[in-house]
Amino acid sequence: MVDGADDITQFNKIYEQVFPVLIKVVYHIVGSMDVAEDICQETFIRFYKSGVRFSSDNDKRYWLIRVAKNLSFNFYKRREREGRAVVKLGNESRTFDDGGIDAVFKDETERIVRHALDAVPAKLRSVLILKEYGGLTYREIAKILHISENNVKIRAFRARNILENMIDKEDVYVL
Amino acid sequence: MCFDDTILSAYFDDELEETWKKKVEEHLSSCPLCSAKVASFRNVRSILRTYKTPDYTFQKEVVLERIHHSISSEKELGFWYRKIYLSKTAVAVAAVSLVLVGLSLFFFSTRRTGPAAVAEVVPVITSSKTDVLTADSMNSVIRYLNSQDKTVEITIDLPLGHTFQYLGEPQFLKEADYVRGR
Repeated sequence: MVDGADDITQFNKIYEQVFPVLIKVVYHIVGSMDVAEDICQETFIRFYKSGVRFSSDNDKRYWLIRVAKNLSFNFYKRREREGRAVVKLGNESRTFDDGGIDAVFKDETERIVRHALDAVPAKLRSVLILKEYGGLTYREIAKILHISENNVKIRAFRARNILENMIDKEDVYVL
Repeated sequence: MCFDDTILSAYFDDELEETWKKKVEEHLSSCPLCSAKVASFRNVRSILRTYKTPDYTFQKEVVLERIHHSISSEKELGFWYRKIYLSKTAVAVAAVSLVLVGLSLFFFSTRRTGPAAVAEVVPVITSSKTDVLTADSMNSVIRYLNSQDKTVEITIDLPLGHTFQYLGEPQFLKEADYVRGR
């Protein structure tokens, strides 16, 4: 467990480093900013209370991303089970500065991407999201998921392949 | 010869070693099929990037604030509410010690009071005449009653010691339930 002023400073430092990756990864799994916010909070509180001794800051990052990823998929599965798999796109408080027809196209493209991502099996999707939205390397993803780098390479390719087919069917254009 | 699609995907992610990367680049310059595959990966990435994360500046501040609040309110709960983290070995040793202490307490307490503490009930049965017999179980009481050719009234004196325990079914406590010959 983190304790004392020095540890609070350490905690704030790791929070600054990891929060941006965490929120991006979680948001693209659950599809809601409100849920992503709650999951990030829960993850950092678990980290604070965990009492786990980490050998490096990187290990802390891997632990945090792993826990957040698991919580996100648990939430996703629970929502599917409960028959409420309607995914809200984007942040509810978002403003549409670009407005007009562009905003409509943008929303539609996001909906299709969300739909296509949902069709990718969780094992492959987690690799793709960590790569594309978390900006992590194969080595980092392997450490987070406890799999080999070669496995990460294969999963990333398979996920892209599935997405390519899905997007081809939907006939998506990038604005 | 064309490269495997997974190699092209790794090349696209800039995850190949320098020597392999050069080989792939050379191949791509002369192979439209592999170039098209890499282009399709690029297309997928462009589409994925249209699905952006909303601005999270506000969330970043709010979540940190909530975490600190949660941490400080837990600290205010004081010593008895603090979580204690022990190693698995320490927990196992404590559990075994607890069981051993429990067993030894039970063992010594039963030895001190002697076998009488768990002995069978030894009621003394006194008939209306002068018969006095010692019964060590309900069966011997029933046998005695069956051997009588008329209704007899009996009194069962239970042991007076504080170590007396009721064992088995409390049949003899319900006089009305007894039917001769059953």
